[in-house]
Amino acid sequence: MSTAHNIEPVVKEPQMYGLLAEFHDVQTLLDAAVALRKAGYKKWDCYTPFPVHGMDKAMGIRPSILPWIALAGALGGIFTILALAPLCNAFLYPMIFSGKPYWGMPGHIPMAFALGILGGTVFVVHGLFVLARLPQFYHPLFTAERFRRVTDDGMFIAIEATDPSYSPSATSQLLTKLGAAAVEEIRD
Amino acid sequence: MSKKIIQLGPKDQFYLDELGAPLISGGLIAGIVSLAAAVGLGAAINDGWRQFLFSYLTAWLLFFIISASSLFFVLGHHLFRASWSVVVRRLAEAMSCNFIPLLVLTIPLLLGFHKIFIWTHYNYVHSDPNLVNKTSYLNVPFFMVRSVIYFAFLIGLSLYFRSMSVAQDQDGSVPRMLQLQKQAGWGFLAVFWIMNFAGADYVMSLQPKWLSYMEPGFFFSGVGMAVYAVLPLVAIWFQRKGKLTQSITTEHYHDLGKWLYGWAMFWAYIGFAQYMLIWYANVPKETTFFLLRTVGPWMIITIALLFGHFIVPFFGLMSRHVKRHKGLLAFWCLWLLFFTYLDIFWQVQPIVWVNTHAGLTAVANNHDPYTLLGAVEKIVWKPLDPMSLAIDALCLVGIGGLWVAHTAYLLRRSALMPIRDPKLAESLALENF
Repeated sequence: MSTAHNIEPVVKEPQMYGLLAEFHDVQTLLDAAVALRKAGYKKWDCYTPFPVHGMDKAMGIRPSILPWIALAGALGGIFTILALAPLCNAFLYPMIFSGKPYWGMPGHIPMAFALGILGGTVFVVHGLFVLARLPQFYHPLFTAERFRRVTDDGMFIAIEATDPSYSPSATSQLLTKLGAAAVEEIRD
Repeated sequence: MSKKIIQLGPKDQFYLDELGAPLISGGLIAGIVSLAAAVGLGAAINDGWRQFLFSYLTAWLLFFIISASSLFFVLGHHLFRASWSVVVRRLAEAMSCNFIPLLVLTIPLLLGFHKIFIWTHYNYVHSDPNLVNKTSYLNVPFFMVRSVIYFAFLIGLSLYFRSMSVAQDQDGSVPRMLQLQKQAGWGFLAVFWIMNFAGADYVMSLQPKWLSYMEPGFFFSGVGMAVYAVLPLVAIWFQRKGKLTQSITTEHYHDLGKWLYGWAMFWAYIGFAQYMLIWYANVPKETTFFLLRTVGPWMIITIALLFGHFIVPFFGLMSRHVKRHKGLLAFWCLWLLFFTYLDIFWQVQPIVWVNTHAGLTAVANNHDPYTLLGAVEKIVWKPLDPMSLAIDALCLVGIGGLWVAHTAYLLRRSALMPIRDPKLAESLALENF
């Protein structure tokens, strides 16, 4: 108990997170995204208040694997029922329902359909959370005052300092050259 | 906002021009020659035109479905105030205006009416109290009145929507578009109900003792899909011939492919719902439908439909990359168009010989279920003879040729795209996320 008074308050040294550049129109943002991709940057992202057509192509984002996760969930659901229902009805506890065969496949299809949908949706929601690393309550960009406008009319590009091509001065100059209205260092 | 300006570049060709004449003459020649050959083969079989009539009905139904499907697409476009589909709407409008030729083409069906529909036989109907009860609906005068009503609405709606759209090419009028949107509501419902009743009248009444509340909906699921299998094919073919090359983009194909996929799955949903209800209840007046379609060779066709219309395209057409690839999309359109035809074939043709005198006596004299099945099996083979299949193919090419010729004739009389539609720019700039 007495040692509690001796603990030094830990003050975290602010780390350089990266650069935040503000843009004023969509086309400049798209052109900047193309230029950054061609310049070889890897750890960067665009932030806009609304979806921008052609941004995936401009940033070179590859299609998500989320559809495959959904397919796996759906097929998993379907085959679970197609295996479980005959296992119970035909082998473990054979029972006659309304004169149908023990293994009455058509009767199992609605369940398989329902569990296929359930599996697909559960996997797609959880897959989305995992892939997008949600829930995330804090992000270094939240420290920037101007970043608050990202939900209204602000369009931004943020480049992380851990990017191999990153250099504080050259990257900042590049962003200004690409039409950024303002470039700001973000410390976390 | 965006600097990208969409231009109706002078490079794009909006008129059928030189393609019109060969399509019309080719379609007419192929149609008349094939129909003549089908009539010749029909006479040569010496079965009193029975196979010819059913082959003709199958082919006629396919193009009836495609035309109604196009009309449903146009009406849906206006009802939902869609903008993505503007660039392909004129093609659908032209395909939807084929009901007058289709009405003329019913002449052979009217001549063979007594042969096609067993419920027109007094003795047959009065052998079964259930059928006697149905005569208040299933009688020739009321059938004809219903058909006249169907065709009056289908012809009226298709001509109205196309003529307004063509007139808009001149004035670009927005009130015209609003008027069409207003009329599309009741028109959409009218076509939906008409096609449901048409399914009951033209397909389900071929087996008048059979009863299924799902069959009209099953017929309608084919109506919903057909246009999405035909439109991409037409558009791809036109683009290969240098028409509309700038206007119809991958994005439009992607959307058409999504609808094609969705309706193909809807077909499976309704088809399975019908099968499962009948399987579960196991009532004789309902199971006759599937009895005929699970004996002998028809079992193979039933399984082929399950896989070809559902399971294989379910995986084959699922990916967006497939829908965005013209060649692959064209393959799946052809595939599903073939299975749409096979679906109609499967609904219509097993009964060609069942309701004949020979078929009825064969069934009546066999009270033992196994010999009954043997007798049925002998009858249901007949529509799959090479000769019968040749008549099927000739009827298909025949009615198809005339249908293509009339569609080309309509397309030649206007631009291939609603060139002054108020929402055209939005459609040209379409982009999927």
